Amino acid sequence: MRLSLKFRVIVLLVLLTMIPVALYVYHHSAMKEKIIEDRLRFDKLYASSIVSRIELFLERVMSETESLVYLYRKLGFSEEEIIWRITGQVRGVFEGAFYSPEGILMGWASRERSQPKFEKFVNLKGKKGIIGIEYTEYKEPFLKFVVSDVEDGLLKGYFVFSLDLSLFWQSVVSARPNPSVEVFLTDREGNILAFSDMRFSSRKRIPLKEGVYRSEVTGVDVVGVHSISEDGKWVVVVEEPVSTVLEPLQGFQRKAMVAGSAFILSGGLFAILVFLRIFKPLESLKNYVVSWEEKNINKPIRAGDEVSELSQAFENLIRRLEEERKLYFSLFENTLDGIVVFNAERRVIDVNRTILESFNVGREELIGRSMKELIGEELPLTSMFFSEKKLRLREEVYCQLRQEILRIEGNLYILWRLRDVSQEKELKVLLEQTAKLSLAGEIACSIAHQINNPLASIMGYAESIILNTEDENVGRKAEVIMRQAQKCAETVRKLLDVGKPFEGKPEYVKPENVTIDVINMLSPKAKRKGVKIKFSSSLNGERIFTFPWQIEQVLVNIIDNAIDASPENSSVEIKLDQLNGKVVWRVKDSGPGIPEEDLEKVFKPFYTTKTYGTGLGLPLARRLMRNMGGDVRIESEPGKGTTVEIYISRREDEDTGD
Amino acid sequence: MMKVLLGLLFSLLLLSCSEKDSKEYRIAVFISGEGRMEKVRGFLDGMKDLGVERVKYQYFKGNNTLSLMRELAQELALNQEDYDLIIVGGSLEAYMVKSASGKLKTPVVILGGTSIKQWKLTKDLGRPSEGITGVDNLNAELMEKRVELFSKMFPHIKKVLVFCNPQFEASKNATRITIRAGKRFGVKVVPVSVRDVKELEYIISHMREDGFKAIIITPCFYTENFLTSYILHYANFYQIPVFCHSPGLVKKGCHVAYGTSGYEQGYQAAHIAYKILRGTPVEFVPFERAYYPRLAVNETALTELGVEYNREFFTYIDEVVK
Repeated sequence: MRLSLKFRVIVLLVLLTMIPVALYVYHHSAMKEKIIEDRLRFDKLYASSIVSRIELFLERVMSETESLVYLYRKLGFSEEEIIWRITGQVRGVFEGAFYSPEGILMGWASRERSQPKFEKFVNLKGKKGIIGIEYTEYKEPFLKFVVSDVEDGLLKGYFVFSLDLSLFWQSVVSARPNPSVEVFLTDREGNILAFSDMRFSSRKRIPLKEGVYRSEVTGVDVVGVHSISEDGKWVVVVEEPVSTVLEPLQGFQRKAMVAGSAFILSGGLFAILVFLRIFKPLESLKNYVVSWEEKNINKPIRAGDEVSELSQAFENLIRRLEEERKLYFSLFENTLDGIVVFNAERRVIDVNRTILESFNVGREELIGRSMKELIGEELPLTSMFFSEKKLRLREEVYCQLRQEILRIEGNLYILWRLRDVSQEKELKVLLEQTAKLSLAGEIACSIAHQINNPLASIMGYAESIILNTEDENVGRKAEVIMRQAQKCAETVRKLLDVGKPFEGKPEYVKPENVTIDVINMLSPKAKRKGVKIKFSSSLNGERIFTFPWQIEQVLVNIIDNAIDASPENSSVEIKLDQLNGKVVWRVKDSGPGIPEEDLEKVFKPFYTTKTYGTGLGLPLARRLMRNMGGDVRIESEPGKGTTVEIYISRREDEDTGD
Repeated sequence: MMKVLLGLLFSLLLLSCSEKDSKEYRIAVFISGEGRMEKVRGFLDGMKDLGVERVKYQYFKGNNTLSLMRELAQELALNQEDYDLIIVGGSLEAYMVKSASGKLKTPVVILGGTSIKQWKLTKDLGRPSEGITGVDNLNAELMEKRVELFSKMFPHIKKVLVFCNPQFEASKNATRITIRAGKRFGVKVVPVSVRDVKELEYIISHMREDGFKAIIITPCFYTENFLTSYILHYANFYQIPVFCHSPGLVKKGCHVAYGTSGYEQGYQAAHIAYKILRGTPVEFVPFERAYYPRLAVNETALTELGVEYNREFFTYIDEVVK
């Protein structure tokens, strides 16, 4: 289940709010238990103290009554008057009767009734104090006690008084801990004898319990205890409503609850409002980003809450930005055009790799340079195109320049797209030269064809002269003609080779064999000059799939040049190796070498240092090798000879196999 | 917005901390007339002594007029839920509130009433059944004792009048007890019902002519209310001793009285009210008997009256007012 962050934070806040409530409940329960426990202990002590005073109070009542009887008797009051006076003076005594020493009812008086219910004859002999408990017509228990009427040692009779136990009890429990405390006097069976007030009761009997219970007298939950007198005659029950016992606690806790609740609710409300206030823009941002993503990136966001969603959205966005940045950076870096970016102050702030590689400059050399430094002027802020513009980079170069103005996020950028036209210029020259050469070649071939027939006649006649003349001088001159004609024929043949289109079929050849064939072919020439040809090979009979005639032509040209370049009694070294999947011939002569500035010239047609050279051998060799996917390179140092390397790939051989 | 909210929350906190310790009670006081104020004073003092001081009392005084009392009872019954407690001066007021209300929703405490069962204010004094409780001053029950004491004090008077209201069973009951007691002690007791003050004056001014030489006050609302204002005035003028039912009335000019004082009844009723206000259900707050009765004599009034009485009887007197 996905829960939003807002929901979770609100749940957390609610839970935090519940902690004080739980603590409140816990403290309330603990304090309630403690208070009730204390109150039970206190009430128990109170009940014990009262129960121990009951007899004392009864003694006091009887003693007071006896004293008053004696007093009023001395004052000469009649029995009825004495009883009336005593009922008015001793609290709780409401009626009385006078019995003769024989137990005959002589008189009575009552505060309530005109005819009290006293028995006409009672045996009171020897009786003193309490004689029993009886009940009024209202079922109120009262206690009867006897006081002897003795005058001068002579028993005149007995006064029997009725003591209203409730009134008596009020004087006993006058100092109640608080008005809510009910203190009952019961007998050992739990029959209520007196309440702490003057209520009407119906001889109620209550179970003697202790602790918290529902009172059968007051009908509310009470904290109740009881205490039994030593003789077991009286039981004092103390009951106090639980609500009263817990009133201080409830008062305090109500305040704490109200204040706490107000504080917690206000705090919680405040926190929620602050939270919502913070959350609203966050949610708006989330909704915006998520909808944007779903629309533009089309990647569904599945996260737990707003922050996770936002986080994922940002992650997707950043990934997408990174991809696009890489893409655009790659485009920027790898575009064929060099790109230079200027800021509004027309200073370079970025360049792409093409610029660096094309113009062989470092980034740091360009960054920060002004437009004026690069082209000598500041171009206006409009799109412009120059087919050729001279730039001062490391060196001066000619470029095609296209200027564009970009406005991104209120910032102005100037973009230059540069294309090096230096090579194009050179190629143009070369093309012109090639065209010329081509034309010259065609002319040459045409001439060669034209010349071949006369040359054949010349050589034929020259040979005929040589063979037939007897004049040595003529013969010598005919030989010169013959040689020169042969040279011409050779030149013509080479010209025809240069001009001849690439033809033939490739086949498997062993480079050693081709090399040896060429060495054998040129050995007579080498011998004549006293040049030794040294050949070594690291190949183990590997074959290459190539055009053998062309290889042979190349080797003939190179080795022939080497023989020509080498002085007499020197040597030409030919090494056949493999290098990086290529077969390499290294032909090293012992000649004077070639100056560095002339090294490239040797591959240009008609460039030769030899007296009778045509200047077509090396260009022809390079052309042939390049046609076959190889190349010819030359290294030389003046005075140290020249090494020509011929490369050709073995790949075809590997692909086809033997 | 946030400042306003903070201010509001702060005020709420202050308000919650300033919550008062105790609740303020609203008590309706329904009395038939000024004659009941003695009981009300006792009640107010009792409440104060019990520490219940935050009480708002609203008085409904009937001006001793039954019709007005019925109207007030009706009003009180309608608005009874506005009060935590209704206190009434006597059984009559309690009866009127009960009749007007039907089933009572607010407890009623009688400051001092008599003939509770006759008024049908409860079925059992030990367990109030009608939402009414209070102090039973036993005035009706004490009528016999009063007649006995009267006969002892005025042995030569053999014919007395009692004022009663035959509309009410309780008044008739008290009258019956008085007549019965009179027979026992040799005193002819004749009940008289008066409609207004003129009738009252007429009766008092002519009662001697018919041999009626004293008035015994029975517990009847209008005697209680007319007593100090009219009955005593006329009685003194026509030399008629009046035997009252409350010692408190002796201080107000009554010649002799036996019973419990209205002040004490009201004070006692405060304890009953206290239990109810503290949450004890009414059925668990039984009626209480008034404390033991006392005999009081206003010696000055008696002397001024010039009526013969038994001086030896003074040995019975608990309180003498001079």
